[in-house]
Amino acid sequence: MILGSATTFSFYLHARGSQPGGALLLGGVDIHQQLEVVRRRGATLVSVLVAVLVLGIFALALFVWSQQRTVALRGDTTSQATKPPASPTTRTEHVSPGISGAHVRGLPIMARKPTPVSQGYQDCPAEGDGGDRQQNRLKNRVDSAAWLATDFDDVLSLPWPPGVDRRQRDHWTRGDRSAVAKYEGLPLSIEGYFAGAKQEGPEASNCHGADADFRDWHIWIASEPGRDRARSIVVETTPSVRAIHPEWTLSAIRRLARDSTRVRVSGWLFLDPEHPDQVGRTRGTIWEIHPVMRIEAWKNGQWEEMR
Amino acid sequence: MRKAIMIEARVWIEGEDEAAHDFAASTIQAVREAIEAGAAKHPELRMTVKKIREVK
Repeated sequence: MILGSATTFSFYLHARGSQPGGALLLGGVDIHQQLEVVRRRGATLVSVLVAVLVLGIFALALFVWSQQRTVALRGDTTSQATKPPASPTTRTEHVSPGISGAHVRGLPIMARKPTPVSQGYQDCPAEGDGGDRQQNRLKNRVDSAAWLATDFDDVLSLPWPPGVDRRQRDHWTRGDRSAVAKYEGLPLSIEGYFAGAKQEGPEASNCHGADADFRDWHIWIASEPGRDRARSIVVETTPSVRAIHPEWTLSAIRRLARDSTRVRVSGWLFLDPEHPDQVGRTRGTIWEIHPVMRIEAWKNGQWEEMR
Repeated sequence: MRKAIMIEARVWIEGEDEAAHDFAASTIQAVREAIEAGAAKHPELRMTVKKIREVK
């Protein structure tokens, strides 16, 4: 359309140059008048196009703003109550516990979180052998930090955008990525009681290693001894971190669970989007401490680190 | 009488592979080919692989 208008104006100027100040008749019609009409129509068309363009930009900006507001509102809604539901009844509540009420006020906000340092285990690179390689690198980080003591319920009730469920990170929307990045990668420590531990199956983050030392350990931690796993937080140990902690054994962890020993677990806050269906059943949230970097047990009136 | 059934099977697969090689992709392909090869032994049945995915 713009190219067409330019051609019309070019012709108009050429015609005026050939007959300055006089009427140029073609078939009894004043061509200057005709050209003037064309020029006005062209100007009108350009005005309409500009108006449409401005309206389009405004609509786009409005859409982006509303998307960001939606994400923000999900977070705000969580500040209305203090606990997630004991047994959510709908998938909506599972996917976004924030909607059903919780608070995130106690979680620290870090303007700049530590850059993950990831490391492979034996022949397996940090990005694993497939699947979500970005996520694998987060699972395989090995760096430590000053762990920030955080209330158990603050992690349990932390919301996440439903759009990330079962999606690889490179398919997340910018808004969802931003909402998760606000908290993921926080160096946290939480206190509670182990509620069980199991060896995970082979997975991409560990190059599907079949041997036991290539598996993650899936550990449940609850706020009170004997509490239902439906309100637990999953924390996971990884092969490369376990390799430098000989005292971390499944039997030792299970013993702490059996004895209802209070524990303090430190590590990196991580969102695992693969198991939203388990929320309210075998876990209370898809937020995890993963990898676990430090385990301490309350013994004889003090914290003792498991080396 | 014409019958039909949807079957879900869990298959454990172990084998040697390069550490960083995509084991899930190659084993999923292997299972697909194994089913297709096995289906030839049963020409009276029409087997269609709908979906194969890694169980996590």
